[in-house]
Amino acid sequence: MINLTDNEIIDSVKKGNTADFALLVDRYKNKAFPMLKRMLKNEQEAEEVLQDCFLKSFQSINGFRAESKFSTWFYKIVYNTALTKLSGQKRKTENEMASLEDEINLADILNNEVENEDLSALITRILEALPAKYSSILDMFYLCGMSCEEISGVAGITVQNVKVILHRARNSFREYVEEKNLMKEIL
Amino acid sequence: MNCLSDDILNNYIDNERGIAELNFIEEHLKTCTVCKNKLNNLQAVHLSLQKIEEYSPSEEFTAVFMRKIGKSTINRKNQERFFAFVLSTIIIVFILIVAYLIWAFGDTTASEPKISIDFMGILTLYYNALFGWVKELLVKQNFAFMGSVFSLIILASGYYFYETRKAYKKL
Ligand SMILES: [Zn+2]
Repeated sequence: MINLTDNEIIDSVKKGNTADFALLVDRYKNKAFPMLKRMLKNEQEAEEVLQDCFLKSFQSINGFRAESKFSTWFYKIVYNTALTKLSGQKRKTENEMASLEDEINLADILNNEVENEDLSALITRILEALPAKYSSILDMFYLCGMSCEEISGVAGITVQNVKVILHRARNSFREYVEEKNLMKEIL
Repeated sequence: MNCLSDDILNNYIDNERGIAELNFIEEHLKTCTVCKNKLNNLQAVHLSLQKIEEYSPSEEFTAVFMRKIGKSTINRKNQERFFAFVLSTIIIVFILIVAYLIWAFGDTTASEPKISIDFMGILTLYYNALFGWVKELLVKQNFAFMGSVFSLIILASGYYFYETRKAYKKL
């Protein structure tokens, strides 16, 4: 069962084996959940939205075509559902989402310092604090293992802009970390 | 010598530089500690990002979800079954009404000259045997009773559809 491909599972679900959908849920929940949690900054909401995303994909599974990849199709649902949720929340988020042009100012985002933090812990903390636009793209690239082309399709921005976001995020992480002298421990 | 831009270093990490550029980058890195240091730090960030961990939502997440879609498919089946029931009830009542009309009509035109009396007699006999009880049901008081039962069924089914619709949308 574990070795079935996504498309094989979907075929089975379409034939009426509804229970097989659980395999897809187990396969994607642990990646989609952290991504949603970082976008929404709320664990409870992330879980509700994720339930909603799986339900949406289950209900529209008949519209899913075998030529496409389930992962990109599903992450598109996740990404859009989270954005809809965010746009309904507050004006502040809109500003966060609006401009690609903004520099990422990590010192502003991370208002409290943690003593004796290692690089991985700091990176995780930065990710949690980043605006949804950045954290989602980093999560799709690093956690979900998607290519820049796939991310471009999901987020509806050009491949070039995906790269801009990735590079900008890495650069500001590097600068921040250099400032904090955390690199010595690693290198 | 010109130092490497952030973009070039990032592309270098992502293995996205042209071969011609590659030689230039590696030559430069051999001689420039500033760029070498920058690259090392960027690589450290990249590696940490690659180690971001997955984690699961609450333990019963999948079970809760599967129960939810189980319910939604059961609801849809129930809805279909109930619809079939209501539809067949309506059809039966309709047939009964038509039968009654035929019976009433047949009663007054029993002496229609073009149909043989024997045939009409047999027909009336059949009607009486088959729909005798219907006749009884359809005397004036009973007719009103049937009407209210019928409209009650329609009301109940309307309410049921409304409820299932609402429950389904909530999911
Ligand atoms: Zn240099």
